[in-house]
Amino acid sequence: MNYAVFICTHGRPYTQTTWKVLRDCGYTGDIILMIDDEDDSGKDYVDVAHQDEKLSLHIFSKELYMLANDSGTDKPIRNTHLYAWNACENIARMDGYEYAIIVDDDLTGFRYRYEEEGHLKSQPITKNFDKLFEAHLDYMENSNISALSVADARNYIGGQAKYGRNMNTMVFRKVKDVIEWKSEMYEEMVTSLVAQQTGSFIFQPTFFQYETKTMSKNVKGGMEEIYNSKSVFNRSAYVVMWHPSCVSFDANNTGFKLRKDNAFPKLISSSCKKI
Amino acid sequence: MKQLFKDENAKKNPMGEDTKYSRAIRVPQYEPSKEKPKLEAVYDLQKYSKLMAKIKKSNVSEDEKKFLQFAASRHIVFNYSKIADYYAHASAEMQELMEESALVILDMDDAIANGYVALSEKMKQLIEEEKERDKNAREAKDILKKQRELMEKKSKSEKSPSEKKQKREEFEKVAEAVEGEEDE
Repeated sequence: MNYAVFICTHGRPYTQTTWKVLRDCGYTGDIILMIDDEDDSGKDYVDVAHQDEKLSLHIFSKELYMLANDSGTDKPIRNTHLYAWNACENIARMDGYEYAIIVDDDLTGFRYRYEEEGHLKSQPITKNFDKLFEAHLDYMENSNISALSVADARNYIGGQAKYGRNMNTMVFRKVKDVIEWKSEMYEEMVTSLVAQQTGSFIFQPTFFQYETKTMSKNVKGGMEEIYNSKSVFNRSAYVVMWHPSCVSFDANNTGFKLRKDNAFPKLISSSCKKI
Repeated sequence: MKQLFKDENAKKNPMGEDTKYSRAIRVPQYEPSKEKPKLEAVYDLQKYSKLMAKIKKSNVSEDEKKFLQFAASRHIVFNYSKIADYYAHASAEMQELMEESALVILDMDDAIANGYVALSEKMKQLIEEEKERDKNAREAKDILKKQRELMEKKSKSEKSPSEKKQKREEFEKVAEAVEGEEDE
């Protein structure tokens, strides 16, 4: 199976953790670091890319992607994930990959999640990531799934592993099923909704989870500055604006929470189809 | 297929739900109801109708009205569960048109549902391998720890410091080799 991992990164040549974690978990395939041409640490990334035979660097034009992509605002911000995610999709297609595993740069580990004697347990992953990736990609290959996303710890709260329909920090993508990422804020949610309301199927199984580090003030780069500069209300408004019929604000004691109702068309067996 | 790894012995709470954790992952395939819903029940025009009334009463130009009317359709709420129920009872032609409009997503030959079972089996196998590796590594560390303790006890009773040092170095070499194998 022809696939590669694309790590979206910015300003963290030596502090991005995902590449090493993937290798520690036994992934032996291609890794592409995606950075934009406005990243001052571009030269340092070149240095990093020389440390691993199967690690390469791709620099995309942010200006070009800003012109082509729909940020959802007339004054788009420059440091958002949106352009890097779309660049990954395009580069994967142009380089002839059938599948792209697109991931953020701040992952610190992976764990299997499984049930044992009535309890939800976890086991750190230390090997076999190639097999794990291929099992997921085989599943996609033999079905009409456009994207599989990886759950984080929150998906296991409440005693049941819950599947989801949103993309997030780590996504397996079938490259031939074109998905255009949209919105400069909460792009995973906005794009998942747009894609599935127009016929794609996205699903989040719950066999393993990723872990991320809590960002400290000393670690620069990423989306931290943007998240800190905009309120939750402000960020959430993007999703409501894109999908006013199925997303609304829910006010609670701690502030606002997004609520989704009737958001995704249902997946039903083809046995329901009349011939 | 409703549930995987269903724990039949799980305790029930007063609501009849499992209190024990069971990996009750549903493959996300919706099971349509046996009843065909009324067509009016599959969408909600409340907000849309309000907007349309306002637009019609307004003094904006006809072109602007037309645009606003298109935009108002963004507020029509579709109930996708009821839409799937309706689909299951609709005519072949209606089904075709509903599919084209992505009102339902068809799981062709149940590839998503069945593939999920196969994926779950593969993942079980990988988890077992990881658990076995972890167990072996822990056992090896325990053995090493015990050997180190024995060595220290023994070396205390030995007379020559150079002999002690030599034994110690030999042991450390073996320990390093064992730890190195675990890391690989």
